[in-house]
Amino acid sequence: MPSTQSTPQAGMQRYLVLLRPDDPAGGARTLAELARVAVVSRSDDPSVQRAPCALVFDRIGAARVHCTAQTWQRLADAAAAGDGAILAIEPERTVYALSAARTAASTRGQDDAGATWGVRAVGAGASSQTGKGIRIAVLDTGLDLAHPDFAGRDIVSRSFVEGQPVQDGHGHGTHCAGIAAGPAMPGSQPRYGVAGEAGLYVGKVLGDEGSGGDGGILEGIDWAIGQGCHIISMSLGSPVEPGQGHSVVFETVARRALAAGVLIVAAAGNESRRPEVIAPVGHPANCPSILAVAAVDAELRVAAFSCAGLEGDGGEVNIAAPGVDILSAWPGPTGHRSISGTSMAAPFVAGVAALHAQADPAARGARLGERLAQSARTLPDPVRDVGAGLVQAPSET
Amino acid sequence: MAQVRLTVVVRETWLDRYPLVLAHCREAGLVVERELVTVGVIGGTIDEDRLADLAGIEGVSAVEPERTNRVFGNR
Repeated sequence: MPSTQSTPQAGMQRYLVLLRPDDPAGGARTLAELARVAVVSRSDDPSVQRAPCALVFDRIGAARVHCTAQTWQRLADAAAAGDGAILAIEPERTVYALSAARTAASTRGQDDAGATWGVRAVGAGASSQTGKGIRIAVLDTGLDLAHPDFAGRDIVSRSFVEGQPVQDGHGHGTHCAGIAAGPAMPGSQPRYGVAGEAGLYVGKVLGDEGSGGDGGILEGIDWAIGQGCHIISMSLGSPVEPGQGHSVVFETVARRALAAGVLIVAAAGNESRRPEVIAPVGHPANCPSILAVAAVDAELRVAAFSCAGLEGDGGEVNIAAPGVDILSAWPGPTGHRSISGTSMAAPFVAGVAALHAQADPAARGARLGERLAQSARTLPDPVRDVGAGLVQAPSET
Repeated sequence: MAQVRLTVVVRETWLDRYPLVLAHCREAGLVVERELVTVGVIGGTIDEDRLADLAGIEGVSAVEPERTNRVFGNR
């Protein structure tokens, strides 16, 4: 990785130091030695941040150091040598706070008359893309086929639950489908859907009680690929124990989906009870070839229930999206409901993926996943919790 | 003997011989419930004591018992 060596300013200045990701502790030691400063863990105490010390963000393998030009030179030399624990150093302003601060300022708050907080946070309202020409499969509890917000919409659906029609007897599937592909102008509510003109493919793989086996889910994936879907959204799963590893079956299937140009996104899981309990990403989101989605709240902080990337080999969180107090469609006379979960975050990513896929015909499969990660906005929480950050609709050119 | 519901993955190099692998799984005692040709997967149930026979079939790369999954929302 190339090092960044901007000319230092006179006096003290803040820099960001990129440490080797496999050895952040060693990086912190080298940093302490070269910068001749005390190394402290991440802290929000402003007095600590002003002191001449290095603040280590160990979970993202980076540190912030407040130092002189001479110290900067020692660190830059170490980075240029390319064989130590320090990979790069650059002025803080170019990396961190700006994008996160701008996001927070523009999205903080509640739903307004025009759009839900989630739609605004991912930039869907400001995008000219609508998902037209892109097919999203939502594998869940089905859809309320009589819902007025989907009236006149060309929807392809199929049930993989024995004895149950596609009609959503639970509500969860309708809610998720609404987030991914609900209309740009629902009659009585603010806009809650991301890709209003995407083709919607509804596979019922969970029964009306809200559960289902692996077999039905795999059948839904097989069907969605056969239907020419570009993106598959799965707001479902089961908890895994630390160290349990991922499913070879789902990983193989996800690889075959990517080879066919189909990206699978899945909810990371709701097993955490922060701050006391932080649970690992669940099945099947913990597969390396499936995009694991964490949930953030309207303050863009990780949701208390959202699972974290505690395991390697696919067990990481890849990206984050709105998942707390999310308004969307619901079966029945009320027609809409606000609920929370990483289930809500996954279809946000699926919808935004459709916008990117529409904007760039080359963005398919793994490349589409990379595009989502590259365009995500940095968030204040660790990569362990939010991956690349908040998913973002393609910016206008 | 207890029945196990499971998923079988057809090996990459055998995908073009999916029907042959399917037939061998049936011979090994698998009661086939799902034939997922696009992703190269077979779903079904089998007597627990015949699991090893199934896993030993050439053209099968993995066998996993089925999990139950739930919605991750409605909190």
